Amino acid sequence: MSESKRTTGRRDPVFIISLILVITLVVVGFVWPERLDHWTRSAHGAVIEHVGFSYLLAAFAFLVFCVYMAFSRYGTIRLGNDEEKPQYGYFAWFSMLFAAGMGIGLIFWGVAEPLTHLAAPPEYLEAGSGEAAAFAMRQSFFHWGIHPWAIYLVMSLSIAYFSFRRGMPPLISSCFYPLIGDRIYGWPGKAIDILAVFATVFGVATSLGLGALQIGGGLNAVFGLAEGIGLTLTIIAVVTVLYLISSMTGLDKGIQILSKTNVLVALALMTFVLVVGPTSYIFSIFTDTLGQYGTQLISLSLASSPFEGAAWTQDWTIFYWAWWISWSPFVGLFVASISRGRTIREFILGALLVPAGLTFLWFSVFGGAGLHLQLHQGASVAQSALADASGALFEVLAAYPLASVTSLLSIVLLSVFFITSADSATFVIAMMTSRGSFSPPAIKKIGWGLIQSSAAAVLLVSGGLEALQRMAILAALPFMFVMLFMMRGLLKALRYEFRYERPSGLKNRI
Amino acid sequence: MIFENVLIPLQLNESSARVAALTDAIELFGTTHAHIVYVSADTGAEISATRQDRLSELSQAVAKSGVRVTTEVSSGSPAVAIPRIARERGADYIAFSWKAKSWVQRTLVGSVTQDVVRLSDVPVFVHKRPIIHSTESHQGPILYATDFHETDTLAIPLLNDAALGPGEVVLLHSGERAPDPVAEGHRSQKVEAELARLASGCPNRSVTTRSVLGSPRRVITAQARRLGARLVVVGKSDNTSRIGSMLGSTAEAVVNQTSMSVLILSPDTRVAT
Repeated sequence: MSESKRTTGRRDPVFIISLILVITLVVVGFVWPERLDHWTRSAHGAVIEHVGFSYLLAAFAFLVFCVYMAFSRYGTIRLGNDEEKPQYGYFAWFSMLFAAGMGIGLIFWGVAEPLTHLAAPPEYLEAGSGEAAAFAMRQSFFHWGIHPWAIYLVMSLSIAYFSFRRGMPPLISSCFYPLIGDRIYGWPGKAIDILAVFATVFGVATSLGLGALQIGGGLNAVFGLAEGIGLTLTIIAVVTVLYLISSMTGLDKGIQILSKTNVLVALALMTFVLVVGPTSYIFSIFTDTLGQYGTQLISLSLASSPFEGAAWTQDWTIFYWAWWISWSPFVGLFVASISRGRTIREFILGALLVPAGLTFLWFSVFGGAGLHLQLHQGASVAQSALADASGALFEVLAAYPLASVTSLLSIVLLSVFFITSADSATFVIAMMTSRGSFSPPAIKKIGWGLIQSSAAAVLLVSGGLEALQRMAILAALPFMFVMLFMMRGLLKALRYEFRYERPSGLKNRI
Repeated sequence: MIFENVLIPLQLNESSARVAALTDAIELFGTTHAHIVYVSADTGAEISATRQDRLSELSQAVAKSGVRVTTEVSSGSPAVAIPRIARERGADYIAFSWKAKSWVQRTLVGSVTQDVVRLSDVPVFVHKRPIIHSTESHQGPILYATDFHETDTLAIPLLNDAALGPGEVVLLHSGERAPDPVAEGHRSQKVEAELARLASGCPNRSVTTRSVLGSPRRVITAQARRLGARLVVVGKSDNTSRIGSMLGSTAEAVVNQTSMSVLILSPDTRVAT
């Protein structure tokens, strides 16, 4: 089959099967939410408990792989032609990276995670103690630091290399060409792409649902609007219209402008809290936690806690790792699509260090402000965060000047990150179901946008949203293996390029 | 002839039958002079009378075939001394009679043959089974694994030589799949063209060509087994990664993993004109 036929044919089984699968599961979640909840809870619990350690090993392997790629001779390879310049400037690139990879989650957990760990640490730590506070910050850095980016980068580096340098469609299956050859066009390749669509749609749908709940919480805190299903559904509807408009304008305008604006707003909000909050305390937390994170990176990476704190590790670290892996097809494809023209070294170091650095600052500022309120000012924000994580940010902001302005700004920030995440996810899903076209048809973008928002809304009403999230996370298990093989495929391809296609290589050999 | 002078290292514990079988094989390469070497681990070139007698006995077994025989006793590490003596005496190749060792034995005790394969820059012939089976009417093919490198200029005239007996020659190339379909198409076309070019250099033989994807060490041993090859000819490649070097070269792997006689050609081999 010729390349053109593969990319322009009308009937794409990935699209049709993904669509049927997604609609079927949403219907099941709506009609039998309890059954779906029971089934996914059992499967998810079994996976996390019995193979959870493999997520730790895999994430560490991904990190080692990224470091190796950045500093090996392969680091000089450009993700595009040798003379190509990066498609986006640094600020636009970092902004889009940050918006797609962390964005909404960081706003949600920036305050809530350190406070939750302080209030409910593993059993060997005393809740509310100084030790628990240090643990809370260290784990927050760890969960949101370089590991998620290493996971994303394995995916995005492979896709970027095979699409921009080797001229293949930007699909996950393309990365398997060195391993299985033309079978990527058959069922093995299609199964990988369908799984990616499945994980992305359900991951984004649950993120939309949870994000809408937090925006609702914010609106309640600022304007006193009554929280409830009506408000949440209205938020989903408004945001859906906005992100569909954004997605129609394409990457060059919509997502880029929104992401840049949002990072500026986030920086402004962070600077404000840093200045009006306990500044030196925050810097002290940043310095101390960075030191602990740096020195304990390897032990943290492999801490499966078999003797004590196992349940805590499964509930948090392993849950996060599975979440990042299930989120990686979406972020990986999106990050690949904005990274054309960068060298592997620049790509890895930029995407590994800059967003992680900003994340550390964010956690230090917001987590530090929350910890200061709890530990030194007698507030009980930690228990509130434990009860309702979505309201933690607004509760902390309320303790500082101009609370209504900063809360409103946070709602705007949440909404825009919400829009950029959903917008980029719509773009990526449409791309995956259009045989990897960088200009997927508008109808597919609208269709998938409506499907993921409807899924979020329907399952929020029926109570099946968490079940859906667990299904997205279950997809992480096969994806972990997919990603391990992607590393192998990429290494094979790069070795081939260096051996046989470079002037210094063995040109006379085949 | 390319393989006129052979260096045969003996440990003196070989049976006369094994040495005779080795002699039958080297005759097929057109060898006229055999330099037999015994390398003693003891210092000094003196050996016991018993060993001297055994050396003479085995030398006579080689000489029976009409090959001119000279002998030498040396000392030191056999793996270092054998390639050195081969160079100094102008040997065209080194011929070993294979003594099978398990993976554990090879790892713990080592193998002189394997070390010489790695260190020598002259071809090494490892005799395991007769190249021509006098009792069988059908002779298996001779398998030449090529990476289209310098060793082709040495291998092709040898393969074309009728002295190696009747039967087919299989030219095998194994390589990694290119990273994308377009590059793979080019690679595959180039491989086919190169194999056809080499095949045209063997007009006296029925030649078939094969291009198989995969690691050369796995592909060569699997194909040799599948085809029932009677002789495997393989070029010693300098194209081995650092990790690959630790695992041993493709040539070493082929020697260890096949049950057929193997001839390893080196890119540094001088070609007789």
